[in-house]
Amino acid sequence: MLPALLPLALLVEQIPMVLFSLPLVVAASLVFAATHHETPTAISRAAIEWSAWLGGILGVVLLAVLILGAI
Amino acid sequence: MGKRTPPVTPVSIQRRIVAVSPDDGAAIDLRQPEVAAVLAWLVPGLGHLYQGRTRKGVLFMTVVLTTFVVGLWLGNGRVVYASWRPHDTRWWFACQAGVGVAALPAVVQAMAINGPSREPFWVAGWMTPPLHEGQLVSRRYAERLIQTDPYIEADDFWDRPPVKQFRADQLSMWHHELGRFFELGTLYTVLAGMFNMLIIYDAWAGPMRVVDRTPVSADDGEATATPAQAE
Repeated sequence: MLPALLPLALLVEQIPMVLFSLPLVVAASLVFAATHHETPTAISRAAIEWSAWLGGILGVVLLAVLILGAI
Repeated sequence: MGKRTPPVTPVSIQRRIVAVSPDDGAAIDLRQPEVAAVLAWLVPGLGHLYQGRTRKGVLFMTVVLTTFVVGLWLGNGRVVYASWRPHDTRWWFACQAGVGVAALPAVVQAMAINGPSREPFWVAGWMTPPLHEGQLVSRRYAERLIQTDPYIEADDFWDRPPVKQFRADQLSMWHHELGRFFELGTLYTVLAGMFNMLIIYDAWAGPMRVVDRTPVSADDGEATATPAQAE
């Protein structure tokens, strides 16, 4: 790791693992939306829909894992 | 005798391939789709810029390259490497290579370290496959690893003039050093490559068909009939 980026790396290590999925959900939503639409308005709207779907599905899976882990 | 129609003379027709926007029905000039697809693979978004679809090109370039670079950084530059050795087959690289030029240094590094020089092309080591037990490397690369890698010591090499032979497993060292960030960096870079495969398709064939999910009322009669029912 570059020495200049070391504070940032230490900060990253404090972030809960599950939060690393959020940028991926956003990136996937933008790519899926932009490969299905052409106009900026439609892309924005579809990206929000995709984010809700992907985030919801991941949330349900996470909830199921947490419940199974608690049993 | 009937009037004969004059023969059709060949005319020069410029080949234009267009797609139809699913949003407003506007024509999208794909120019030469094959060229756009290759450009889209080389640099994410470049195919769209070539087609004049600037906003989408910039969006794709930003999203894919940011995802790839963040993944590479999380994995300390080690999660993208090309290796087809029996004990370390890096299948993930097939997806990572989807980002094009950004992943190509991994191929160069793999060819160089397995070649006669026995050291990576860029000795700094980014995107170099991990050393496995018994691998021969140049003395220069071995000394550099001993100096820069806190996990590697001089005892980790046997002296085999004019080269050195590694006697540990560097991949295990990387997993120990990076922990969960090795998998996380791999995931980010793999997804970046897979995103670009969708983008290549969009550059080649235009936006994917959007399924119309608008509910149709039962009163619409013919509109509700499926093609099979219509027959």
